[in-house]
Amino acid sequence: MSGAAARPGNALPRWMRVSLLVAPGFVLVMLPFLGAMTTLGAYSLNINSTDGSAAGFHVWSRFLGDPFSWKVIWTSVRIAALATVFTLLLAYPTAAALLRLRNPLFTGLAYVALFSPLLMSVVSRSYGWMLLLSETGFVNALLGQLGLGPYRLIFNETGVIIAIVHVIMPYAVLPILNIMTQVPGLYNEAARDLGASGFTLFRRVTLPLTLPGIVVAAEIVFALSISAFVTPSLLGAGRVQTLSQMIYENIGLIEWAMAAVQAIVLLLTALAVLFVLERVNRSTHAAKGD
Amino acid sequence: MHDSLFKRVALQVILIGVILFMLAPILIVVVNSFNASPFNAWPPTGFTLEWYRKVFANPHFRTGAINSVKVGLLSTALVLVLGTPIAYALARFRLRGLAAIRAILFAPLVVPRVAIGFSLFVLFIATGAGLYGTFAGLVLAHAILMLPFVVTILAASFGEVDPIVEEAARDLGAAPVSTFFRVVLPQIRGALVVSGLFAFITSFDEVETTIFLVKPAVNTLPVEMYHFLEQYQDPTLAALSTLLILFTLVIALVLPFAVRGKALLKMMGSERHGS
Repeated sequence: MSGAAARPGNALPRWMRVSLLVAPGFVLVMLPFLGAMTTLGAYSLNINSTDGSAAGFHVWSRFLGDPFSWKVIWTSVRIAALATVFTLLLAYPTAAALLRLRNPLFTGLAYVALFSPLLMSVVSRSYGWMLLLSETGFVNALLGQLGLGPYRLIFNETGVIIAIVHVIMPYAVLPILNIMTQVPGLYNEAARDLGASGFTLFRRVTLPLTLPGIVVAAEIVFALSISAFVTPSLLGAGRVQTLSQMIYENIGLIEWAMAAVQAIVLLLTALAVLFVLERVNRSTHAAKGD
Repeated sequence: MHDSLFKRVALQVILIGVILFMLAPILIVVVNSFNASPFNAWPPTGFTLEWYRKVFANPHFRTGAINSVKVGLLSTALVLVLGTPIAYALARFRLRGLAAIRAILFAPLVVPRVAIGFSLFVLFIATGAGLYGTFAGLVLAHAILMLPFVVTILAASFGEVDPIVEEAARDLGAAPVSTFFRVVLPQIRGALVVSGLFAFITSFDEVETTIFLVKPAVNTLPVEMYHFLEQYQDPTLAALSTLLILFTLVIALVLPFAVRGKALLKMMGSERHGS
């Protein structure tokens, strides 16, 4: 934009033009978001008491002093971590297999099959899993023909994790695909010429080169899993207690200060894991020298 | 590629397995929507269209669908109108203040949607602005969720428009505003369509923030579906889900016609650039 200020049509200084461009969105959307976050903090300090008690940190100490809270936090983290690990373990070879497909028709169909669930409401997807996993459902019917089961796959953590893995899979495959296409096959050839083979090649060359993509996938997928609400609520049916469900329940119980504390704890937990993964990401970049 | 036979077979098996895994809940929902058994028994006990009749007879689903379309269209229009100038500013100007704007803009991406929903709920209550349980409140909430995505897609697209074209238009005497509308905007048409569709679908499927902000009169369709599932499990929901899958498929089929080039892939790859 150099020299643009000399023209009569650009009489406004740069900062003013930028402000005019940004202001409407800032006032109408970003400011309410900041306001909401601030109000959340205030409510967690019981500023707007629903039962006449004083403001302060007592709701925080009530929450943090209750062993049940820690159990719920642990359940939320465990489910999200397990879902993330299973998703990555499946997404990585899936991405590798996708890149090896040579037939354009198969490639197209595989992409559609993998990513079309993104277009489906999370309620419908959870419902699909309820149908598949229930005692009289498809999976148990299939296992029954093999003389197995019926297994209890629903209304417990198993069902919740299976359904979450399904919901988050596309978000994991994409960044891994992205990084795999950037890693030149040249490295593999060179390593092979130097005598590396099979698993060594994977562990020493391919995996380190694609690690940044795995970390990005883990960040996205963990953040989505820990904040999942519909899936644990429907497939857990109250038997699997996570933070997001407690927040929702506490609204109905007019425990708004408690819900605010839980919402902040949920946010901080998600941020803490993101922070750790971001550190891992940075160290892998540093190791590669970029 | 010199993969061993074992590796090739193993990768194929995993790919097929994951594809079946991804399609399984969709297929079961479609098949079950014709299942005569009200208890979703497997294998199906017979063929029926009864559940489709029940979907159309259900007034909650009807008003929910209308509400969802309304909120989706309004919030999509809002984020496009507000997001386009922000994206342009981020792509074209280097100012210190813009880093702060960028940080605030992308903050909602790292906040769990449930927390956004609850924090907006307390904001609406605390300010007494009368936004709780209204369309305006829902539109605002969805705009907060979608703005970062829309701005990312549009900013990437503005970045590819050569500033020389703008300079040329202005040298020929065009005013900045008309340059923008007549020269720059047409070049990002594809990105506008993609981000608009993306925003609409996001809004149409949103539950985790929305559920904190609705009253029964403004319940959106996925919220109605969620409440329905809490009480009943007969295949009515399978029939409704099948209709919705058809609906989104039709929308998704519009994409290739509306967008040229690789805008779609770029959109999918750009989801976390700013976070």
